[in-house]
Amino acid sequence: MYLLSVSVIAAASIGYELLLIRLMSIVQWHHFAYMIISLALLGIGASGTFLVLAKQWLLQRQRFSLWSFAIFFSVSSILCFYLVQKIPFNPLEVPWSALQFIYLSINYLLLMIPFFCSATYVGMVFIIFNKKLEKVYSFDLIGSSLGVVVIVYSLFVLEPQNCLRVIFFMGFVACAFNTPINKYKFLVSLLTIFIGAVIAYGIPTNWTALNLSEYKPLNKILQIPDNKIIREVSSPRGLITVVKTGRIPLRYSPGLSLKNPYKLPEQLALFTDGDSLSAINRFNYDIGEIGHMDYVTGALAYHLVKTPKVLIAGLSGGENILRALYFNSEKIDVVETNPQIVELLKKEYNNFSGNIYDLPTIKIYVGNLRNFLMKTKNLYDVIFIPPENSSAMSSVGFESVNASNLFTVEAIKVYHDKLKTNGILSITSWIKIPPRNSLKLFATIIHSLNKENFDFFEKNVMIIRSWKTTTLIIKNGLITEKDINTLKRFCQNRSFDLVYYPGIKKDEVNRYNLLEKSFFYEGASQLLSKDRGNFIKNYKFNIEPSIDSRPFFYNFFKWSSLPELLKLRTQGTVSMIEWGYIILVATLLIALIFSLLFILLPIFAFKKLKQSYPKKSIMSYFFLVGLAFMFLEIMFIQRFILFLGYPFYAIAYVIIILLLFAGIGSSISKKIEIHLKKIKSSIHTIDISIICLSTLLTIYLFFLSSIFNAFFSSNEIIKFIILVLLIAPYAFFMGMPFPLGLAWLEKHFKEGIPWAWGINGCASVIGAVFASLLLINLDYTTVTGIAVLMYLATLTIFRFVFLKKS
Amino acid sequence: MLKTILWHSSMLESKNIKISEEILKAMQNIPRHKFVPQKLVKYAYKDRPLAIGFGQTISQPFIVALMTELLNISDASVVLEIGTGSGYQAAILAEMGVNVYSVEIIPELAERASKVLNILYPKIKLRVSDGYFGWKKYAPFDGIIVTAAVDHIPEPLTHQLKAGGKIVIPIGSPYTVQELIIVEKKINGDFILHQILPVRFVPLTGDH
Repeated sequence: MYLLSVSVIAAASIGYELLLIRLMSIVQWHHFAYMIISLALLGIGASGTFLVLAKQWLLQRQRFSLWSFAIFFSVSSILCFYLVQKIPFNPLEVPWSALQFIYLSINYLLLMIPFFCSATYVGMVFIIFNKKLEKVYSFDLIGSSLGVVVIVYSLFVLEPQNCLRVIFFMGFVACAFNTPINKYKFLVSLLTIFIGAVIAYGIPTNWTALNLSEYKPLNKILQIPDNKIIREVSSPRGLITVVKTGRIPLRYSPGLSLKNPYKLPEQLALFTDGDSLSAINRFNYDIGEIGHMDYVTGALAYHLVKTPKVLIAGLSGGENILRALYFNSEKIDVVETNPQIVELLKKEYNNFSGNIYDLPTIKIYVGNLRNFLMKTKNLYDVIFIPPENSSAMSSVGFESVNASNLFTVEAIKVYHDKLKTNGILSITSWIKIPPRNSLKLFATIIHSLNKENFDFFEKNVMIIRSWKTTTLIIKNGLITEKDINTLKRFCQNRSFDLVYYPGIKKDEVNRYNLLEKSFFYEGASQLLSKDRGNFIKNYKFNIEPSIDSRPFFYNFFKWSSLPELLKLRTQGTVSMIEWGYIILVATLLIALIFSLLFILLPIFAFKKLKQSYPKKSIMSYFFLVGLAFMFLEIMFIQRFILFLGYPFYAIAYVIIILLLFAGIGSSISKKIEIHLKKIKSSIHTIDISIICLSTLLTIYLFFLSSIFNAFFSSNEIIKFIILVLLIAPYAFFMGMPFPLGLAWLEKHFKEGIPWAWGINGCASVIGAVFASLLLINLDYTTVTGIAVLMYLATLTIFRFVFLKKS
Repeated sequence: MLKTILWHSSMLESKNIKISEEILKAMQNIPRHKFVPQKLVKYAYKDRPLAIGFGQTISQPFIVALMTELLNISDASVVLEIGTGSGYQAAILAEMGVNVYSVEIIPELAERASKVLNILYPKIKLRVSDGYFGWKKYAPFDGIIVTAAVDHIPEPLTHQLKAGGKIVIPIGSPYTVQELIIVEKKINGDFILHQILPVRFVPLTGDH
């Protein structure tokens, strides 16, 4: 029963972690959510220290302690989230106010409490069941795997805030396994579960309600009188909100030309996670009503190719479909990643949008643009990538640590290959000043299409800009005199600026939207020159081409520019700092400091013991096991995002399969060891696990890309089978080193079991953050190589320190 | 506060932008603490933005000074402000002798600002309304200051601007304002946008 309760509490704990990421992304912004939750997970490290210090006391009241920690977990999961929302933490104010750092610290200290409770629970079971450590670990991992399934399912069927009730209930279920009352145990357990369910159901709504930051666009629009939410749809992919405006109508058309003579139609606001605004336009089949569609830089593509067969990346509110319709497109295909947006617009707002979704010429596919294009046999006249899909939406660089496979050298090649002769790839992005994203995109395109014929590329590209957007046009053919005339006329009539076309003269640029210098023209010219390597190297931001093995398109961070930016932070450089990256570094530093504390504190407690123990080796072993495990988990998640096309599925599937098979590996590790002893083999389970793991990972280094390429166009089921076949074997071996280390501790240094549990917890937090940072700066091969080396180091420690001691 | 503004201002000399004496004097005369929520009064004279509720901020004083400077107006000019917020920007303009018309979309903010402005500068005309349409009754304006977030420049505002007049718009989220846009209306009715960039980060662009 204890083992089952470990599974339940582990499931609740990982469920809570994933749920918090979802909830905090809605109320705040994604990367602060990531930081807060990463640090809160240090609660696992703290539990190890606590168990070392309070073990005796807790074991004397074993069942009551377990019961209490399960209850504490339940209560704190709700209470701490409630309190966190009461703290006036404003991430945007962090660079201005020291007080915000205090609020930030209180945030993660509060959220640390539930993780501390659940980890203490599991740690206690490790101590109690020290003869079955591999079983405990296996139940912990398998429970975690199931926890992901439970929370993902809950997020599909419940509002995100109500999933907190599920977590609360799970804590009570774990508690039911440990009822401190000896009489009528079964009945008391059932009663506990029943009470848990009743309380979970009855928790006041305002305790779990989401209080969005007042600076989030959804909250801002709701401040205006008469504006109200008319529809809300939630899933693990995001919270979709539709807002109807009242007396003061929404007028959303980013970067609209000052020369636009048309009124904007009635619009509904569409938000994802309270951010990423797009508009659903009312359309009554009167093309004159949507004349403004022609007054943004992205419309240029339709002036260059008449009645095209077009592919649009992303549905947004349907605006880009209307634009394609406005220009009499012959066929319109749209690829949208979020099926809920498709469902919502097709079923509930089809009428509002003029029933355009019923038109036979319009087809909407759910999927990832790149994967779709790799599968389809269609060729297009225009592939249209709007700014919603091509730019970091946030102005403060929070996207910088998000991997994006849409804008890599390899992805651009895929798009280009699906253009008809003289077809056009049109990519529009928001302007960032000084230029970063548009230059990085240009550098990536040059690298992708320009490997062999430099002159050819120079004659295939055009760039324009407004004060809000830049549009890059890449033609699958030479740009003609006619194209150039069209371009010039288009820009002149809309007061857009020319940035580049073959044969452009310097006095033609920077005419309408005046910058101090013609930064964009100069940047584009430099990138097209033979000196572009030096230009990229010396630029203040990272504009190196993005590639599949390092797909961080939105990372513009350069360490060399940081001192200058920080020095001038109060003078407006705040928005130029890539905060996503800085937050990741800050998270790592804080995690390192706390981990050091949690890991070293127990050593003082051990000083009382007369027993000798190889403390450095124990620390190194469990730290490296935790670190390597997370390195591989993060690395495989990133790699499978590209393969599956959906970040959400990649994260969920990889974690589920990895934990499940690691759990199976753990559960049979002892059996293998016993068998090896029986046949008097000089080989140990640790040798088998590490050698097999290293071999498998080395094989993956060489063949994973080829396997992905071979199955890229397969259906989802085949892809899932491939994922299982690839992850299961190495996950199976990954599950062994930790329980094998614990088993050694059990024989030689029992007091070290909770310590090892804490070290592993700290290493997991550090590993996740560190791996993300390394992946941004290095590539998959190097990170995998480092993980293999770490595993080989654990083998060395086990072989040459632990076994010698045995 | 004024020292900091002057220091910031000195960094813009290469762009031929200098905060005028009149603006500095106006800022010196205005009790900024009266425009700040009670709990933030101690920060009122710091050169930083402050939250005033409803997702709005009172801008960093330097930005207020710079936006006023960029309007390039003289006393007796007629200026429209879109987004009254705390009322501080309107007060600066009024102190300089400008005829100020201010529009605020959030009734609670308008009410709070009008309480302060009615005492200090009763001449300022303020109304709760959709700033998108400007204030046609008092148009044309010599200058328009837009302090609300915009994704495009509203056409009615360009019509309500006198030839030779300027619209000043800050781009960026409240705590990260870094870029100002000036829309200049030419005598022939054409528009030119000046992206004053990066207004507070001269050294970086200098290297580019």
